[in-house]
Amino acid sequence: MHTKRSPQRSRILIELDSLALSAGERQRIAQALGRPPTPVELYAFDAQWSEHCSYKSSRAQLRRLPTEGERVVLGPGEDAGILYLGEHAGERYCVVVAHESHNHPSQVVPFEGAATGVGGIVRDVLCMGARVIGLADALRFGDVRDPASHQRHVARSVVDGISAYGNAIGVPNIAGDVSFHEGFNENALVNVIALGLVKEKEIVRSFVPPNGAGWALLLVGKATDASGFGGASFSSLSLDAENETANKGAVQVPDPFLKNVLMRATYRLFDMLHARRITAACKDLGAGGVMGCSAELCASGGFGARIELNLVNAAVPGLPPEVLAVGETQERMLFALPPEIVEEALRIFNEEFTLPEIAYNARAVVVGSVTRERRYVLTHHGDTVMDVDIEFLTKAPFVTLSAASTSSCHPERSRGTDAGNALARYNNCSREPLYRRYDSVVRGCTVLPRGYADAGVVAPIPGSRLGVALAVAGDPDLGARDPQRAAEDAVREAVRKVLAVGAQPIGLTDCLNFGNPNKEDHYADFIAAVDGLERAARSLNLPFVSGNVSLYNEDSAGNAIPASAIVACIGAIDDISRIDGGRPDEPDAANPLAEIYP
Amino acid sequence: MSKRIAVLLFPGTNSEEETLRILRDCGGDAEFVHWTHASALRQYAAYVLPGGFAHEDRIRAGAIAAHDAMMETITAGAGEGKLVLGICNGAQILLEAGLAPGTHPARQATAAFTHNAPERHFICRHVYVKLAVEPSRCAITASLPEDALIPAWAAHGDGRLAAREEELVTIENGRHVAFVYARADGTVDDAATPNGSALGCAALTNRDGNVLAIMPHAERDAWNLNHLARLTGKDVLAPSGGSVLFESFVKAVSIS
Amino acid sequence: MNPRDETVEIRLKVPDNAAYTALVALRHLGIEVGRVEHAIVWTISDRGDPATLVSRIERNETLFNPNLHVVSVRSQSLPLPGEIWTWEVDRDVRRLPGRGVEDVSYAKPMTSWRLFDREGLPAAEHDVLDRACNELFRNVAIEDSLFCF
Repeated sequence: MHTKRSPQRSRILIELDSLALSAGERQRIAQALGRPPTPVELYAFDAQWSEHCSYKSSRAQLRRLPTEGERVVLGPGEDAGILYLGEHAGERYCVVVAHESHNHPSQVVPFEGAATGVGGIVRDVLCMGARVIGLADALRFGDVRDPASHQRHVARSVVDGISAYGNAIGVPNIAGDVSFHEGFNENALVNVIALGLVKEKEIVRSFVPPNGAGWALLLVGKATDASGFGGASFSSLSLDAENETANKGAVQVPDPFLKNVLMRATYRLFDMLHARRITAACKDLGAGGVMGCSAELCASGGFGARIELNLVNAAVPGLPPEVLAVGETQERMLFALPPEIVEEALRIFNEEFTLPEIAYNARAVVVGSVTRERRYVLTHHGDTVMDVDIEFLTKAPFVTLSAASTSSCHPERSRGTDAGNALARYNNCSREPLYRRYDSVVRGCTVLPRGYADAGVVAPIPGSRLGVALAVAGDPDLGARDPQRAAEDAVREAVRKVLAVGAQPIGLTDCLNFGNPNKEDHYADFIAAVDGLERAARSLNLPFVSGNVSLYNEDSAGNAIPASAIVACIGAIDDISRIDGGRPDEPDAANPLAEIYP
Repeated sequence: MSKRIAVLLFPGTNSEEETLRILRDCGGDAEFVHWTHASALRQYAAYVLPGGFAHEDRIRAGAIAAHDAMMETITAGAGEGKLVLGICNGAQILLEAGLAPGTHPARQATAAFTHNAPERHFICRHVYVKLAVEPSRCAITASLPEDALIPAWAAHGDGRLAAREEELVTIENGRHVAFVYARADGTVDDAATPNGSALGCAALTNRDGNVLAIMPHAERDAWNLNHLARLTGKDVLAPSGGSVLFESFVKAVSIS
Repeated sequence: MNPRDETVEIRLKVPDNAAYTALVALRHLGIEVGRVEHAIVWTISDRGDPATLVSRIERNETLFNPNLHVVSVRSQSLPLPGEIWTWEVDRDVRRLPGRGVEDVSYAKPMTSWRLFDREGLPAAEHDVLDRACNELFRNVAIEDSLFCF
């Protein structure tokens, strides 16, 4: 296809697509700019001020969680949190951890949604300068009894997607859980966690350092296409059948092959930067695309940015500027690099790791630069299509929400329904049919693979006895009845699982999967869960170092999913010879899960 | 002068680090050779193709990598008697390139490690492989004891040996099946084979015994820390278990 | 109703990574092509109403996702000009899983690769298709093939 898109075409697109920005937010933007926003600006604010990017409904609550501790090297705020692990051969080693959901995409296109969820979480860890050393997944599915049901299809395809992506990039899947509850019939949950290893002195931050004015912005990875257009807003809207056409635009196509090569090329670039003692900045592209990533990378360093959209490597010619700016195409990273290093970086990605041969028009390309002036400017073939204050762009306005004052304990939602009882057989059996699809031992560092114990353990530093344990927890049955206790229990259970293998719990991550924050009772559940997390974490003196909020998880009748605060606990092990585990389960054709995962 | 071992990196390889590590821990002088440096391969004495998903196994497992520029040197080297070890995806590539079982005079593929059966899914399972030929049949296994039983991980979606019927006879009669799947006690039966592989085959060698294509990853159960029963005290970091295969390989390289 | 033999094509409407990889691989082999298309082609035996075949397949979540795929019924059970079909000799799928396709009594999946030259025309040279088929798309040990030039 070689159709050229005229400016008129893109304006028509705007009117057709529904933006998630509220009328009040649009007005605020127009006031701040002193003029009507351009189409590109509307899309940019729509992405940047979405719940997904800004946590506008949840920030105030999340501030209550403890985030400090002697092991915390980097708390929440960047792509991943960092905890001190231990010393080996005179080097201080740290564990990097990130935890996210990919719920809504996984409901619509389960294989691709789950796979891109893994892709995204891996980039969050990678961009901190770390080697990615482990994965975990927490899955919540609906009533899967009918083999022809959508729920069964989702349950099967999500696992296939996680397995296809994680296995191909060569990161062992060492922990996770799965539960079934009818409350997830129309809204499954896919939470993924990634672990990384980095020397403390080699951590790469997601902001341009003080000497970064004039640095080049290097975009690396897959050619931008329209496939992920509108993803940030997408994950912040409830799914409904009428909206299906609108949702289609947000399908992201996973390419684990490209990611495998991109990861290794990025390792090579970081090694080169460390060898030359250069501090660069890096951030992965997620929701908000080139715009969201570059704006945050530069704004958080106190700079502005100027980007020429026509330099972005595109999958098809003639993509409108708003797609180039905010399209969510997977497998892309952005680096801020001093100019003298750019040529070498281009050589690594384009020639040594042959990105253009790995995927169509994949490559590294300089798309713009870091500016002293704190504006965010996008041009497209010489036209300025966006020019805004970068602070204004990256600081979404708070949303004040009201919560129901009634207790959010719902004893009436206790188990006892036919479906609930029937699903017990899927909830109370070995997880072997599921986890045998995940490569749990690639990298050769696995000490306790999935199925051997409550927590997975890796010994990520060759020649060192240091180990890292990881476990996840969160009981949806309890969540449906008592969100606060469920959240509290999720913390305690994740911690117990890590203790059970003989590791010392050192930090937590959370993903808060809840309903519609604009509904008082749903929002009350969310607040109650934060109460629970806060109480348990403070009593155990453990910090949250990373996390994610997924809201608007509700069915077509407006019922929220069972309150799901899913918690991961990271454990440190000084000497892996002291850990404890058991035997994995043998394959068993009579296992109910073997119906779903034969 | 020590004989150098090249660990090949294809785009999509994912088991390169542990493979290099175990070769070095077993005394091998091993290093990576990247796919853009195919011309450097000739100077190496032996080759290891590690696991992964070269080109994401698009078209078929190993199909595209079998035509990589690096494979010309590997094919020539195998013809000269150099040792070639392919693990998992590396094994699939060797079959696609016709180097194992190597029964076609023009190096055409005569067999494949293809999708598992009965279910066509990826499996990750701890297994044992048992030496199914006399150790000297394959130079790479020459230092192993008879009936050697080696722990390893099957981690593949395409590990089932398949070929036309007459070719399976040739493979069996020509003693090309170097390893079969076995239980922990050494018993060989259908239940020990996790993927429906013909002849219970876990590894194939070529006529001259200088090429070994093995599906399970012995390098993932190759240190004490990888195996609960061996996870003890002062030796937790030492090579063990699956490392015997690499010791035998390194020894074979040194006398080749 | 008597079973009818049908040929059904399922194609990705999102970017097809495999087709690009195949194109790069063919060029490395020195086989000159301008573009590669990739699809799954099923030959099926169907007892249902031919007029509803596409819609029945579109109801089957295992075969079809409206966000990813386009289904069409082909009028001929032979490759198109420039097209190569490969299939595994030991794979017969008797029944298709899931709903919507209960009337399909026999189904066999094949992989379709269609090659186009630099002018955008279907590849017409026997040598090009033969080499592409036997050096790349087909493993003769486990697959059979058919192509049209």
